Amino acid sequence: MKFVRTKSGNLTGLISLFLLVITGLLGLFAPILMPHDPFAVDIAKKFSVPSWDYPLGTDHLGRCILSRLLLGIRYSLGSALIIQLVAIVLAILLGAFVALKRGLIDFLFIRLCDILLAFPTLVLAFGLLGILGPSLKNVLIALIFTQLIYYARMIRGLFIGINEKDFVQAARITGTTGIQLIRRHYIPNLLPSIVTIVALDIGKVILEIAGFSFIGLGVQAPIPEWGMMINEGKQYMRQHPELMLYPGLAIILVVLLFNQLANRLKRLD
Amino acid sequence: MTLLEVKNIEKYYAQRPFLFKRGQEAPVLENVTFSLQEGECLGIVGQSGSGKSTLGRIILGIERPTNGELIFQGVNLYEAPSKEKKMIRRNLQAVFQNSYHSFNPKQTIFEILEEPFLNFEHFSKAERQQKVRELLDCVELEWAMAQNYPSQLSGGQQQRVNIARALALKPKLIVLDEAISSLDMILQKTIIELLQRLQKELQLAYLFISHDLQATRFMSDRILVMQHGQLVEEIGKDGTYQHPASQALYNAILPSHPRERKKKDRPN
Repeated sequence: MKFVRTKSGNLTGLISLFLLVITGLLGLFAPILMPHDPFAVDIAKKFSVPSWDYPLGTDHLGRCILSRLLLGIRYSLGSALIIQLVAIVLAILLGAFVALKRGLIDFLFIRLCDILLAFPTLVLAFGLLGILGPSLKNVLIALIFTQLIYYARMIRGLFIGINEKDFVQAARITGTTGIQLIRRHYIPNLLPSIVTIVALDIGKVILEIAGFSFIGLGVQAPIPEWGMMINEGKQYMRQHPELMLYPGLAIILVVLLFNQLANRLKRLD
Repeated sequence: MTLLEVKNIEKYYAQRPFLFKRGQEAPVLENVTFSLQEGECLGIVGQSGSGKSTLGRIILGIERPTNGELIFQGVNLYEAPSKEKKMIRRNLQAVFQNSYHSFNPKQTIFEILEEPFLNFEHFSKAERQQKVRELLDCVELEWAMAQNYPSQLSGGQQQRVNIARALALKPKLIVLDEAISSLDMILQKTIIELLQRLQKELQLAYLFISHDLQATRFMSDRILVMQHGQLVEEIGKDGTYQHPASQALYNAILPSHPRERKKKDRPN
């Protein structure tokens, strides 16, 4: 595969990819790997120090922190992946539609995007969450929406750029239209740029999900989302800073890895 | 029999639109009318910016004219229902100047050449392979080349693949928009010979758009000269050039040897 071949000289990218795949697998197999039930409250064991039984100790309710971190991968990383995937697929459909239609629909679409993009993304997502109410599902909806606006506009631009290329016109003359045109000519040529942008934004989305949970607008306790874990730990910051430290480090690490990977992808382009 | 009729085609491009106001409109084509017979090669020459490529693009349906009619095989292309239009358009193919850019860089030669069949025929994979093999044969290329990407081919080979793609649907008319202008002289000659052989074998008509009067004269039965978006002169194969625009193009042809240069052109 070309991707792997060009990457082989490129250690940082490979290491990031490797570590992210491992993280993903840890999240996927969390139920098997978890040493304890992450929801099992045992007040008698609260704030226990790391031991063989509890590798990272327990939190203020005596729950195993390692188990919670492992299950949290699903909420932090998993939701971010779902958000990006759904947003980019919808954006491709929407952006392709307006780019090929042009005319009034395109004009209205661009004006609407301009208006929505005038708000900072976070403010827009706050507004949506305020209306929908805090929950994991609504965080997904709000972030998919804000990412969608941004991506759809970008993909429209990419499509229009390719529209003018000679090979698309040559394909039209040989009778290729609609979906076939998109599948054979647009997507293969745009995929590298799209993958890079999606990867570049995953870090941002993870931070946003954690941020929403931290301020109480996102995932609700007792779900072990990393931002939520920091939120829960902040009451005990002076006595037990590790409650915030572990999920905080996990967030930093995953976001850093994604940014590294995206940076390398960008240079491949 | 008349294959293509171009009637009073006009094209204006809007310049610098501002907010909701349309800008001034610049004429690119004015009142262009001509017809093309079956099996004929009609040359269109003119300087850069004379509107000859725009005319080609309008005939191919990439652009719509502001006014005018286009009648191909007796059907008005701007009034026909879209399904019928698609069936008629398959008889109208093109070869562009920049052969490399007219290929999708992510497709192999085989994928490029099978695309017309995927669009119009219900062939099995084996049949498509057979067809692509025939096409490559037709333009004197090896079948082994089919697995290559366009970037791995030389300019002459690329232009042959382009011609092969245009031939795939057995069209009646091929628009050659500066199709040989970017090739060297020897390649130009081989491609012209290839085009002329195919024309005889398949009863093709060509619309040969070029700024190169010499090559056009060699190819065409009739030549139309364009200037500032208008047709200014029609010349037969060995006709003489009356209009200043035609004479300018004629004088731009370099003689095969410097001693044949006219006296007045010679530097003192």
